[in-house]
Amino acid sequence: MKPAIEAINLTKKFKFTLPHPDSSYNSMWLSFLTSVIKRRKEAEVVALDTVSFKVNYGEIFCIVGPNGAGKTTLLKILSTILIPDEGTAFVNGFDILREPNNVRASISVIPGAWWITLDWRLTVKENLIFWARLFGYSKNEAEERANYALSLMNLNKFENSYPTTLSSGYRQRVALARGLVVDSPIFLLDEPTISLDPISAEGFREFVKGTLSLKLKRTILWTTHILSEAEKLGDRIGVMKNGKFIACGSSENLVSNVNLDTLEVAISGINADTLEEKLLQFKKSFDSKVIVRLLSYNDGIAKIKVAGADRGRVEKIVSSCLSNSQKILEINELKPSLEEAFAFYAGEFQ
Amino acid sequence: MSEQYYRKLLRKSKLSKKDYISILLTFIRRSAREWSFFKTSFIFNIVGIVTGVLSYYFIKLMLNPSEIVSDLIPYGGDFMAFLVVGIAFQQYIDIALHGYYEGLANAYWSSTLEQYLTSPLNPLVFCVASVIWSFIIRSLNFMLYLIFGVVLFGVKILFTNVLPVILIFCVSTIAVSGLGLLSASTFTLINAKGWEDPIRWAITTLEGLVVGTYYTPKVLPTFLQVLGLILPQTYALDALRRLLISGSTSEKVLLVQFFIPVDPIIGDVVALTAISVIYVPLGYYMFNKGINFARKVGNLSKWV
Repeated sequence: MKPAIEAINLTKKFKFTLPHPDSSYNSMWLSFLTSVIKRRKEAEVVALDTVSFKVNYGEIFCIVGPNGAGKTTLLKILSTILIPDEGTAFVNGFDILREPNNVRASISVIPGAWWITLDWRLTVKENLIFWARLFGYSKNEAEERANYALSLMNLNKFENSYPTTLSSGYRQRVALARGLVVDSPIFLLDEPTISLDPISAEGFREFVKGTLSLKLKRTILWTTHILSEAEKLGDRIGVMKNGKFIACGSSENLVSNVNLDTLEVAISGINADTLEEKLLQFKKSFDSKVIVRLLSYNDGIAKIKVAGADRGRVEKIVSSCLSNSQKILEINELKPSLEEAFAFYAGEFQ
Repeated sequence: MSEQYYRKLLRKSKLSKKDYISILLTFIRRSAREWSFFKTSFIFNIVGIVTGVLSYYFIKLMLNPSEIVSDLIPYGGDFMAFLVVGIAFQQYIDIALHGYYEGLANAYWSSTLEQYLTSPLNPLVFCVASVIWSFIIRSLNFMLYLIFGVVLFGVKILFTNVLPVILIFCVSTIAVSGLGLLSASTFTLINAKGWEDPIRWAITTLEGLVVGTYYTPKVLPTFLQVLGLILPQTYALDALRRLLISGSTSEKVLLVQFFIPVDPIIGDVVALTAISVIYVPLGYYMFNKGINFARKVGNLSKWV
């Protein structure tokens, strides 16, 4: 069986005009005049750099990456909003460059902070129906789909409200409901839980995992910068940085493939009042690439996690920070967390 | 699950004519809703039309109300009727010139352009759909101009040629829409995002001078009359005045009419059709080129 999504060497660069170097307030007019007669300098940013990956049918594939990693650009290309400079992709077996109409018929796109595009002239339900009609649903089908999406997102009581009267969290729920109005084999979700409260976000994740994925077998491509979200949802996770995939696999694989010393150090004799100060001292003693984190504190015993430094170095540096009444009780090896694995792949430890 | 299962879930990749009609109606309903939010603007609109007609009446008084303007004999000779029809039509046809640009600009600035592009809708469809309501309102305005002119100031308007007038409206709307699409294409092609574009500026500037909204093109120097022939509004105004103003004759006015041995109104329809054949495909091509260009450079959203 062909993959649901296959990207082959996708590359995208954006050009943008740099502000005039003298664009301070005092010389604004001068800057304007010079910009009229003199072409401003352009800069180029590589948003995607030869990105290749596959997503199988029925799979939840999460893409994690810091801001500016290229996640949104990738989704825009897969949804045919943008044309790549190089490479191509197949969505539901259709080439995004040659068969964009079929690609669009195969996907539902739910971008983050999408509520800004809700129509203020229409009520919540009318917004959903309007959106469904654009996709060719008949009046009755659109109404049915809108009711379904409203109940999914717990919005029935707001169906006759205008989006302008709702909070931004509720507006985002309306935006998600609008995305769900259109059923497709493949769902592209770009940071969909943005602006949602923790309970609504969890509810939405449960719906995606339980109903969309497990029950309806839809393929989900979900971008996020929240690692716990990716860990909970993703059958596989792709890690992006600077427009490239730097790692890909299940969360267990990503963690187990990390060659990173992660140690738990138990220290006795730590006073609760000086705990914070001591932690800061540990952090300062290691270089900035080493992660130091408090795991627990109980009866004067602090357990800290140190990732990115070997046993000998940890023992030496921690000992140097301790007073006579304080001592290292034990040092145990730990499995790195997904967060540490992500930092490892992102080159934070190098 | 098999590949077949997922292929079955595929929605329509192309919409039917029926779908398009229902989408157009959906857009019209949405625009009507927006219009109904601002009821006072309706009153201001009516006041604007009445004061407009009133000002033409005062111009007529200044020029001597009983006098037949000799240059306007082909159009019945009444300067006020000439002005009312000219300005009312100009206000209508302006929508065809800048409505598509504004439809695109509104979608861009409200961040909805990208979301529309994930639907099976051709971008042109939502641009057209978003201006249809304006066409309806401006058509009603046109009628109000004529009615106020007749009722309040005794302008002699013929209401008998309804079908030919509708025909002229349709053909001229199509012809000017070609230019409108050309204007809309500049939004993405040359990044003309400041609610103004060079095509519209050039046409509006030329239009004010040569199409004959305020005076007959006959009074213009020959080279300006020739320039007027490239704009559909010139033919539309000529035909509409002949059809709507009482006492109009079949005397030739536009340069091109002297070379074509047919009734001037038929000549105008032929010219408008010929212009449409050139401008509409050109506008459509450039509009699509603009959208594709924006897809390439990432210009479809204010947020890349």
